[in-house]
Amino acid sequence: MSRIAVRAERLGKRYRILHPNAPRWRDYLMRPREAVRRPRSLDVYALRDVSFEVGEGEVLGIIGRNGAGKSTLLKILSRITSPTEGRATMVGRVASLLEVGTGFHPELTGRENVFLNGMLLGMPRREIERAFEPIVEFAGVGPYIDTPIKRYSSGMQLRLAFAVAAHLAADTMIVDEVLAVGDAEFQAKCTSAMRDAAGHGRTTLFVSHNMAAVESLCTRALLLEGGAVVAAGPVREVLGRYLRGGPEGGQAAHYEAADDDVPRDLRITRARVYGPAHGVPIQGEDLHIEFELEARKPFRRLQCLIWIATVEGSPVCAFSNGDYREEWDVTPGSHRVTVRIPAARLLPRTYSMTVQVVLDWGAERLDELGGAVRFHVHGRDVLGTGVALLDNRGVTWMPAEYTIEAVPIPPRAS
Amino acid sequence: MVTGLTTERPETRAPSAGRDHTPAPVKTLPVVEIDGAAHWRRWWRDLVEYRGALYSLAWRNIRSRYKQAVLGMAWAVIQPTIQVGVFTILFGVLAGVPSGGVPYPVFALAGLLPWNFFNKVVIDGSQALVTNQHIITKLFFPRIYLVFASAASAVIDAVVTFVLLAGLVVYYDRPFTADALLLLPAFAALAIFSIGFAALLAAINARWRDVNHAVPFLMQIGLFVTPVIYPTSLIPERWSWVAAINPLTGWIGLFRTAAIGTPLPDTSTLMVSMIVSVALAGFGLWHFTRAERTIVDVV
Repeated sequence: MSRIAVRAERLGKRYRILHPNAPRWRDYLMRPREAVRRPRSLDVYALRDVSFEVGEGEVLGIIGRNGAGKSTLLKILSRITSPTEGRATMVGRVASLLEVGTGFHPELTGRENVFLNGMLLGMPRREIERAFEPIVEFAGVGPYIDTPIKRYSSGMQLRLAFAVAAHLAADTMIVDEVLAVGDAEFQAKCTSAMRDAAGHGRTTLFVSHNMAAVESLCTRALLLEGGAVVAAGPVREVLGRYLRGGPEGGQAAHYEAADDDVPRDLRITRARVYGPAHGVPIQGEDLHIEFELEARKPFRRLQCLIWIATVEGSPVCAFSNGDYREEWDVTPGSHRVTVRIPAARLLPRTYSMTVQVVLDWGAERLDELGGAVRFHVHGRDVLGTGVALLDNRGVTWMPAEYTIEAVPIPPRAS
Repeated sequence: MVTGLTTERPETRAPSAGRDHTPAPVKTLPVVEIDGAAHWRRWWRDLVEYRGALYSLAWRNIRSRYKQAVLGMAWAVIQPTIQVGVFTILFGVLAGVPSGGVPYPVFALAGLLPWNFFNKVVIDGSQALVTNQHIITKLFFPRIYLVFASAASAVIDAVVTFVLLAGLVVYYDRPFTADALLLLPAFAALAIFSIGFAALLAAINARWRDVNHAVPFLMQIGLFVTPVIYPTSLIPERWSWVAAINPLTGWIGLFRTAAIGTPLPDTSTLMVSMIVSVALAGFGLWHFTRAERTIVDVV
């Protein structure tokens, strides 16, 4: 094991908030004896008993739902606020990026902001001078460098801010969701810059909701829940644990039919969409659709039609057992249908599913479950390159091979 | 994070001592201990370590101040000029306020310079944590640097005003005496008091915004309660101790002596100013350092 760069020992952060039952001024006046006995404040722990170690050069992902304590932990490690309990030790120069462009002043020019922001982030002046050209180039704001940045587009401001941060030299970086901003192209640039940093053996603590980014950048991860560490270890295991638990990371999408007033000969009683590996659907992994039928009488040549659409309503695809000429004959009773889609190429976003059970391609519709099942496909680093394929690309992606070769210049026709 | 965008990066990564190109031996990596307690050594070390942040904050204040103003830096001259003009007409000519044998404009400007400095440091400084909360909740540096940075921009104003004052001194042909040596000590004492006081108010302001409303209002009154545009001699003997408790009486008096050769304030006044200044500034800085570690939780 390499040397330890960051060590947290039983870190805790307690906030004192106003007790919901705290006495008001009126209570002191009307019922002073009772009022003084009532509790006035309430202690809440944003973080409790958090211990971990990060080896030198390691990239640690910190994940968890909103309010799990991730930001508090980063703030303590960045020294923005002090812990109420425990201690942490950081070795080497630490730079934290909880936001890009902190301290940018709209009235000042790009050049001034690069220098002032760099120094505010802890870069020595000489280092900024050396990195100045690359920063301007990375940001692509060349001709505007002496214009006040309030005249920049927000994209340009962002690129300039990130460029400064990207050229920070520190032993340990603390990064929070920086990659969650900007367009797809810029995100890709940021991710590759992050990857370079990791490649250079820089210790990094990385908080993100972007599972694909965490998976591709981090070696280990820490899962926080309610201010405590609930899992720590190799990134895949921790991510798996995160995806399995709780409502947001979520259970598989579910539908249960309410008791129907109209007696039908055939009913779809329940349906769900899930990923066999982690419970939830994951980008590029197997996707299973399961539903149950209740038939009151025998049916011949049953077809199921399944439509998948985005929640905004644009159709994605439709398929049926009829496609394979595999209609089912069923006897009265309950039946479970499982549709297994190998390596479903759905980009991470939320979809809705419609299931129909029909005869003869819908000539007779026996039951329908329209858009009731919504499921979210979680992103991951499907190509293994660290470039996240996100929903801004559409709904699906095509694996492809790319080649380039020189073409001989044809002789010019005279 | 990131870098690796330029090839010479790894060499430039050497931390702390290694910033001056000499790659630091691995063992000298600085270690930062984070816990809930206050450590004076760490506090001092941070002041040195993060001096770049002070430079950045101060420069940011100074540079952004007169942007998009046609008259720019000229405002730093226009403001005290008009101030002195108005006071000269109102108090010097109409009210006939005595000025100890010194032409009233010189007298007033020599008092307004330190007063304006104090005024600006306290108003800007006390609001520094609040107006920069978007920065302090995202980035660490010694918080006191925000107060220092406010003072830096006030120093620039003071220097510009001083040029104006020097012009008046020459114009009215004031004698040049050894009292001028007191200029820097007087200004330093004033600055320390102003910064300490501003730090105290800034820490309180972070929690209770009442300071935001009270300070500018109290400063308006302060200009008339303090012997700035009238001499100390105007205050009845019986009440001179009240004036002395206000440290500005001592420091503005001392500054005036240094700048235009008015008589030195009495020793007892200076002693009281000294004691009150040290106590207040000391308490202010102490309270600030205690509060700054968790200030972002309440700001």
